[in-house]
Amino acid sequence: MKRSIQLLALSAALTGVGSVAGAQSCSIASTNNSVNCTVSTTLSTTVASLMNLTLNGTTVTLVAPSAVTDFNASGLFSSTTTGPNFQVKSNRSYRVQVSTDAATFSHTPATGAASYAKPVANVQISTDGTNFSALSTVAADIASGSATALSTVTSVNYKTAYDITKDQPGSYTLGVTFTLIAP
Amino acid sequence: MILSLRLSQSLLRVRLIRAAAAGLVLGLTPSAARAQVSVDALELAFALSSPVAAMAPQEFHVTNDGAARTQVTINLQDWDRSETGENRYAPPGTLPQSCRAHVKVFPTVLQLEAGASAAVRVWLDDAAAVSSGCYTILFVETPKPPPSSANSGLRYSLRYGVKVYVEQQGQPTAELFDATVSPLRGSSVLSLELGYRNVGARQTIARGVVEVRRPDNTVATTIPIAEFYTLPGATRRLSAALPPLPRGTYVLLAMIDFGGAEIAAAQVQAEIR
Repeated sequence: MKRSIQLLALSAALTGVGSVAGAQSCSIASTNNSVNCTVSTTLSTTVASLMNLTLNGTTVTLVAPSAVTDFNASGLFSSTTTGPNFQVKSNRSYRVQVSTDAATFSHTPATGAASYAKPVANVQISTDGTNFSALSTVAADIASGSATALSTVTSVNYKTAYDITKDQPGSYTLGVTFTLIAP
Repeated sequence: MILSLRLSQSLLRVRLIRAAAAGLVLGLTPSAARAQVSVDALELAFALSSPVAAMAPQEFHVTNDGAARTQVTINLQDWDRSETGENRYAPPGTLPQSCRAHVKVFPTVLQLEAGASAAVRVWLDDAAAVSSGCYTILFVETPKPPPSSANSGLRYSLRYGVKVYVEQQGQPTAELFDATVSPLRGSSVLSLELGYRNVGARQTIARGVVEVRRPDNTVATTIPIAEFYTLPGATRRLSAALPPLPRGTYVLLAMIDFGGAEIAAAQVQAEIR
């Protein structure tokens, strides 16, 4: 069963809030000092959505395997890397999102190595060190909050998966964007 | 010969992987301070009147809070929200409610000295063409550090999303079209699942409460529903997990205040065993 509820009380209150004081004046024609003349005024201001995101780094190098013995019997290796910290100042609720510029890393192969389009989903991100989710070109929320003079420091961690049969030698780079938005 | 070739490749791989490990040390050293920017508005609203009239341009300001000169670019994209409230972005002009053809921005590239601010002007070139409303988002973005072949890893950039709402004036309207009780995935905890739809021409900013009522109509407990945003025509799925309750029959009454003349409400019966 569904129903709608008329909100009469709230409608009345809103009408009051929306009213605007008209021009007012008063004048006194009396020698009595106790007579008061009061004119009320209305002050107004507009406060914009003020939000600031501070990120403490520009790059991070992901921990990579340093020897073939790092890989397990299936040829896989996983590492955890400490990423940047960020903080938000905001006078309203906010969201912080993360996304990648491309679906794969940009690979500069080492001499003699083949190129490899390493998927960005090989990297997972976490803001609590426990729950990780794969990076993607689709912006995903990693933090949110309400108005704050300065949010607590949020630390980003990455978990990177390597496969000895796929990850060709060379350097891999990836652009990652942190976005601050209103909800 | 073949064996020799394979061995060479194997050695090459080990050597290069170790080189990457050396790069790791470089990457963990503190990076240089970077330019940080801020903006003074993340939402701009153009209220369409009837009959449609030309609207004054609006502005927001970008400030370079860093210690070095920086470049800022402004790019327009479409956006909407998923049924779970996540903001989604799409190339300009691809979503039905796109403002791409009618929202203009100037400038789109800023060069800001340390501490400097600049205004960005946003206007509608033809309000009559968007009489039913439209939406866009302006990404204010700082550049990523230049790529270096010596470093493997991730390069960061910051951006702010300035949402532009072009909407009709008037009361928002919305409804609850679904209310069911079901266990949360992978859990024995029961949850009230709600379907909410914005049937008006303006975004709704809503919040609500679920009252858990006993058969005698007394309130056993209440569950708040946090503020959520829904664009016109969009639906939103809400979930309110029920706290532990004594066995019995309850009525769950959900009420959503979306800022309109009415409150959207729905009720469903739940049996706690």
